[in-house]
Amino acid sequence: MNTGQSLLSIGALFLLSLTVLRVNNSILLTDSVMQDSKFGILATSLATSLIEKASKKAFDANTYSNSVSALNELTSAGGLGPGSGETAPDSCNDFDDFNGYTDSVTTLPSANFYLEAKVCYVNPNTPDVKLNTQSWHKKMTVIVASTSSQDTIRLSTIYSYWHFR
Amino acid sequence: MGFSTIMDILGSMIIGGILMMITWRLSDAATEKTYNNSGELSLQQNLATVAQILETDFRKIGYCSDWNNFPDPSKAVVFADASSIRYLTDIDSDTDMDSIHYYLGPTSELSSTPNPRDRLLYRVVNNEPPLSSNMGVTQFKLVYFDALGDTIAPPITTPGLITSIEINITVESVAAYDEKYSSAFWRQIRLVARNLRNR
Repeated sequence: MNTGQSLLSIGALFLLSLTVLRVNNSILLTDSVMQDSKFGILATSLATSLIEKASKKAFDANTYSNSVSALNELTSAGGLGPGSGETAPDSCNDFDDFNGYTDSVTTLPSANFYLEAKVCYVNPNTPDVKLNTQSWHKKMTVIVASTSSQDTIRLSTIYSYWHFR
Repeated sequence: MGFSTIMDILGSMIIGGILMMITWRLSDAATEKTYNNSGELSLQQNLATVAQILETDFRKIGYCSDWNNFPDPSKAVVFADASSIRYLTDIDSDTDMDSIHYYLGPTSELSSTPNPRDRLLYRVVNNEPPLSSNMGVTQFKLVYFDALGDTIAPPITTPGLITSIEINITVESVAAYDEKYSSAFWRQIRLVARNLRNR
């Protein structure tokens, strides 16, 4: 084998190596996207579950056993969160007890997830703006993240006060 | 033909063989990934569809567009066990209560598919024939909770105690390259009879 043939062989091997690397890269990238998508579905189910759990509770600690008719009877905006002795999600009695709630889910078959929830008062006309005063509407934002996924799921719901008379 | 020529031929045959092996492995891996990724995409779409249908139906447990026809939604769940449930709801909003029954069929029904674990998830409205399609469902597990959040173990003799349901669904691809089946999982808590509580 002369020098020219050797160079051609080395060039061919180099091209083949590049092709293999490209294909592997493409396969791994597709796998990663697929896994992210799969974890996203599961994270969405966890977030909606937490929203469901919170929706089962009373609107406010002061509406748990009685009705209220004035905004100043509701918990103040700075006081949203679990009361003394309350721990979300089971031993709390109202929606805003989930403010500051954090949890990690490690029992699922695929990945570990970390949940965080925030609750604030909002005006229905500007639901993305947090109010520093009471209103008849509370917004809960649930964030679900995982070290196995690049994306963070963020779901929100608005819970309004109503009462049968 | 000299010794060096023979060595050149032998060397090139060995290197050529290695290259052919690499190319064959690459082609095999690409085929496998293409096949399985398509299956993965289908199963994720199937899971989302199943979850969406269940979400829509389960949200309406105990609902009636005319509450006088069903004043006590706590009686909505008629029958419940680990993989089937029958409940009452006004599914078409015509003020008449309908019965919806979900249950999982046996694996033998889908023996024609390569996946030995997939089953049909049936939905029956009133006395209509059971409806289903093969979505690759391999698990449909329901866990029931009472008002205190405690698990109610099946068999459930008093369905009226159920206030929330944990829905676990696993969907697998119905066919896979080299029997490497992909799966996706969904777990959601769903409240029963949202209108029951006076807030």
